[in-house]
Amino acid sequence: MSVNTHYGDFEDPKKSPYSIERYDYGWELEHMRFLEKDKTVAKWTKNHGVEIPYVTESGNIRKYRPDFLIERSDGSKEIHEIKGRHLLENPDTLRKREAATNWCKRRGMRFVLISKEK
Amino acid sequence: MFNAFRQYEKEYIDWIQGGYPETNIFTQDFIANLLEQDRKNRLWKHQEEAFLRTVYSYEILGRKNLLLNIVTGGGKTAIIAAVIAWLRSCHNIQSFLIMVPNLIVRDRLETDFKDKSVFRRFKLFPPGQEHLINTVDLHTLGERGGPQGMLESGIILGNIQQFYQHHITGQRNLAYIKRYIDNLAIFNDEAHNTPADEYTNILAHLSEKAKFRLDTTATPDRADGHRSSRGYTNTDSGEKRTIDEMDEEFEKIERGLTATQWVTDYDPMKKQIAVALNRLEEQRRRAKAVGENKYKPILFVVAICIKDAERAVKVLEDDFDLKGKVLLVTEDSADTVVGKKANGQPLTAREAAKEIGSFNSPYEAVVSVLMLREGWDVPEVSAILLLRKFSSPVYGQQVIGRGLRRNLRGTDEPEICAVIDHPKLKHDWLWELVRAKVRSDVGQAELFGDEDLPPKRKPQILIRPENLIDIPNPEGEEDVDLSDIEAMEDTTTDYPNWKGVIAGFSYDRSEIEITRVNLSGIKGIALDETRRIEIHTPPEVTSSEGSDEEDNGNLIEKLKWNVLDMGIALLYEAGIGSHERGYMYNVIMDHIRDKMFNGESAGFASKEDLKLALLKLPEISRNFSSLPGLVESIVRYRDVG
Repeated sequence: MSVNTHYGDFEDPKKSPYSIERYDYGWELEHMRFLEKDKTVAKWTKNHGVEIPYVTESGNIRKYRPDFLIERSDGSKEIHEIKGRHLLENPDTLRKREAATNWCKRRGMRFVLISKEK
Repeated sequence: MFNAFRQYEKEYIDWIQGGYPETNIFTQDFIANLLEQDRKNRLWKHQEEAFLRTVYSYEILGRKNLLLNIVTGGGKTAIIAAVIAWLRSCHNIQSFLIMVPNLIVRDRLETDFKDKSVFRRFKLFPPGQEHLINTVDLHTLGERGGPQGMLESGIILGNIQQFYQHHITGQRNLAYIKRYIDNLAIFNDEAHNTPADEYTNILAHLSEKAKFRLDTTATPDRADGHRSSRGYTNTDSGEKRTIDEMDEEFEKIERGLTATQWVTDYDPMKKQIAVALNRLEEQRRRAKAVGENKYKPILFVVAICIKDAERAVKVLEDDFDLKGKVLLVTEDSADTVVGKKANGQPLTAREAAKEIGSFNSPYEAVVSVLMLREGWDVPEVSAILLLRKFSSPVYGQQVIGRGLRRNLRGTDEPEICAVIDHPKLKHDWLWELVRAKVRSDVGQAELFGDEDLPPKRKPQILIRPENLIDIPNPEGEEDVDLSDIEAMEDTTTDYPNWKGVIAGFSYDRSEIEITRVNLSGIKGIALDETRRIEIHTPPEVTSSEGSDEEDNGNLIEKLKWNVLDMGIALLYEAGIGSHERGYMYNVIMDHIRDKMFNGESAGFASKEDLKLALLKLPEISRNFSSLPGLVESIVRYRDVG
């Protein structure tokens, strides 16, 4: 399936607290559909306000806002980040990933990076 | 941080429904007065909402630094005034500094705060506190002599240049506030300008004194592209296009042909202006039919440089018979006297631009470079002609925002802003961003009649609070690993000879034998058509693993993206906007060519060299940021070294 839509509204998501969820890119929309369908996912939102501090490659503190906050049917919680494949090895992506993994770990949550094979 | 409030949404709604519990009792009176149904002038719903969220953030969450994202034309001034009145009457804050990025924004705020008109219009001080209006006199920096005016007035309005530390007036203004003013609140209007290094420094100085700071902006994107950087970091949409655009720009500059020449040479410009004037004519008919002739549509022409702007004025005047009806507002012409005010005082072009929508103004069109991109509120702007290319989402949205102010208030009648663009400027991303209806291949004499407007964007409303997800509390103290930055120096040096400095960086080319690899993640790939990959945190074991083979094209692509990201990050850290990213990209790529590709371009580099460059990117980044002041010097001394 090819999704070329950018910047749009996912209307009436059943598992989100909001009337619509906004997406910036096609992959995010694809992921929203995936989460709606996935029976193990109870709740999700992109509008969560989570900010994770991390130190950039050159030593500055920044805050990183991951894409999705998920709650599974068993009550477990996850952060999902959608990332272009070319950025998976970018040093700052790795640092964000590490910070997010630790952030999640401290809260008993899981961090999952989602990308796409070419 | 943008949208940081979302996690408090549930509690905030409870707070409203519970009648503002745990709030200062004066604040409760203040809110009751502000929200009173029968008052003559109420704030708009979203302004009330912004105010209440500000109160909640300050009083309940204990946040003193806030950022409000208010849509263009959303009336930021009234919100700022409401917050000032509240801090004055409920928190005894006595001084309010409003910082703006330029004179156009300053003029707009001056009009609203002069004579305290905004406080009076909305009766912002509650009964029994009306006398406090006498304590919010306006002092505009640069007027009424010396800085002591700051002490005599409650509100100090200044543009950022009036605090710049490289001149004596700026030093004096900043020192005066730091020394004499204690109970201070800062309002940083058009906050997307903040990354400019002077801006950041001044705000850092002042924040020591501030009890409260409110940043306001219409765009969550910052002028340095920091947040919008996602626009060129995703393969699925804008990102490839953006770097391609950059490459294309570079190529054209090298060939001496700029993208804007498609619209700024005489013949194409004349055609575009003809199309624009037709759109203006249509807007006039709409104003007459739908708007009952109550407003006068204006054409706004946006050029990229003063020379193009002057040429556009000449074409409008000579070829379209608009002599005396076109106003030019550029950095050079803003203070030119173009007429007289009603009181006989001279009227400058900048002031004339504010009144251009009035029936008394002789002008039908205004031509500007970037002077009128923010703070210029003329709802009558009904047609916009773009004679320039936007690469920045911030500037693009700001300019389009000039045409989105409503003329027909209190009705549901839709309004149209017609923007005349040229396909060669490749603004598809902008039209997607503002969700415009695009009509292509428009001829000079073509008339549209009534337009079908695109559907309104739906608001995002909390309708299933039970689906809000609680984030568990962390175990132990929240902290960030700062070991990386412990050794950082705080002093910067000037490097006029930056080329020599970076030429001195060396990179070890020796091969490394990999004997052990730490697992960085476990990758799950869906075998169906979704091609979805999930990368999970691995268990803590080690293993060895071969690396994927990639072709040169992929490696070059990866290198370009990473260099671009690195350039933006280096600029950001140096407090420089990402408008220099193209230049920085070239500097880093040249450096890599010299050091790793024997002076050849990436296209001629071997696979091993490309891999080496990718491997060394973190080291290159560390080298560039290891000497504080180096990146600034690279930008400052771009033609020397």
